[in-house]
Amino acid sequence: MARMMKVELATTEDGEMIVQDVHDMLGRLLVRAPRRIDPELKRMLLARGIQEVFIPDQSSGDAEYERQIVEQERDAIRKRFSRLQDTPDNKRIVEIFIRAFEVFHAEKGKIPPV
Amino acid sequence: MYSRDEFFLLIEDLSLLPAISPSCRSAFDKMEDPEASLIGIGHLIEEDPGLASRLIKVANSPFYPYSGKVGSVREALVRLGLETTRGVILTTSLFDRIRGEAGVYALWQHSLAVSMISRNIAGHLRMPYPDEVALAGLLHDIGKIPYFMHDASEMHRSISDVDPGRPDYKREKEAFGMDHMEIGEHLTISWRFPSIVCAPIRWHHNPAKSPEADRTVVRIVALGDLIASAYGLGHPEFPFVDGDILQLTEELNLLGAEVTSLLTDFLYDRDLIVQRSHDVF
Ligand SMILES: [Fe+2]
Ligand SMILES: [Fe+2]
Repeated sequence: MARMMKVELATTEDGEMIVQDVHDMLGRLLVRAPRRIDPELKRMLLARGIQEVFIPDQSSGDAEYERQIVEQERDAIRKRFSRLQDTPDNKRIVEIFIRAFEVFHAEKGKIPPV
Repeated sequence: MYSRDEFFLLIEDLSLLPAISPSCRSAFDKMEDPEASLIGIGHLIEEDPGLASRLIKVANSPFYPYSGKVGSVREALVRLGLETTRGVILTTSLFDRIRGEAGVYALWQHSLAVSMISRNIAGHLRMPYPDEVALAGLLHDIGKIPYFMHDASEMHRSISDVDPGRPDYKREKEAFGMDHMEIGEHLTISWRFPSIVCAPIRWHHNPAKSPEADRTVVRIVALGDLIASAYGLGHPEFPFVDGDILQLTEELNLLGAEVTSLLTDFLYDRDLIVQRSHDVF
């Protein structure tokens, strides 16, 4: 499991990644992780009484966490393409998008492409 | 539920540019006068200080690929060009009217995303008008704004109850009698934008049907729309890829390596959009 830390939502920077699902007091899902914080999301969560969220603990420099980011992005991409038929062409295009993300992520100096 | 005629009456009002200040309206009139000088147009815009500072902010923002800092309205006009200036003023003033509604910020980020990818694709293809292509990307979903103005609760419903079997434009047609492509086209034609801007707005969900003269730009914006959705900057009311990316890249003669480089470039832009899109809105 990647390391994460709990932070105060109101003072968290936009662009920071929420890495654990956020639920309201009744247990209803408000945010599915991973999701980047933006002003609208922050406003919505604060309005629903959420004061703290989990973000990655960068101090650990955790390679496992980096792998998890890539895995989550892969899953998210597959999900967004899930409406399309399961043809070889569509599978190929999903792989191109995943590969491009891996290249981008590696370029940013995180991990070598898988 | 609205009939087409009912909703058409509501958007008629918007086609008369109610969202902008009188001085800005005079600036728009002046922009259409071929004899008018940039200095004269700049003076009119400066009469609306909020608008003037926003225009300078946009020209200096990371979403426009120019170097060097702009310090005056006149410099901003030179950098952005008149068509883009008009587009940015209209888009931001319309977005201002629905600020804070759930889904609006996502629509703003999506519009910026499609604008940036469209400009990049146009650059790869060495198109002569990258600014107009970027503007078409920025405005491509402008037709959704009246839904938030007139029946935000219907938009909230479609965001909280996504139906993977029903794309946004089908739902819109059922609820409002008009989809966002039809509304966007009507508005941008009334605002007298050129067909290179209006055609992608009308046809981005069905490029094959677009008039041949503008089909390349339509395909670029359609592809940009799908790439943004694939990487999570799509529409919250329909966060799926719903189009043939492979066919569009083939029709645009984009090679595999070019596609990969477009996608990785976009991922850098995506970080920028998520972190900085509130700079101008
Ligand atoms: Fe659209
Ligand atoms: Fe779109």
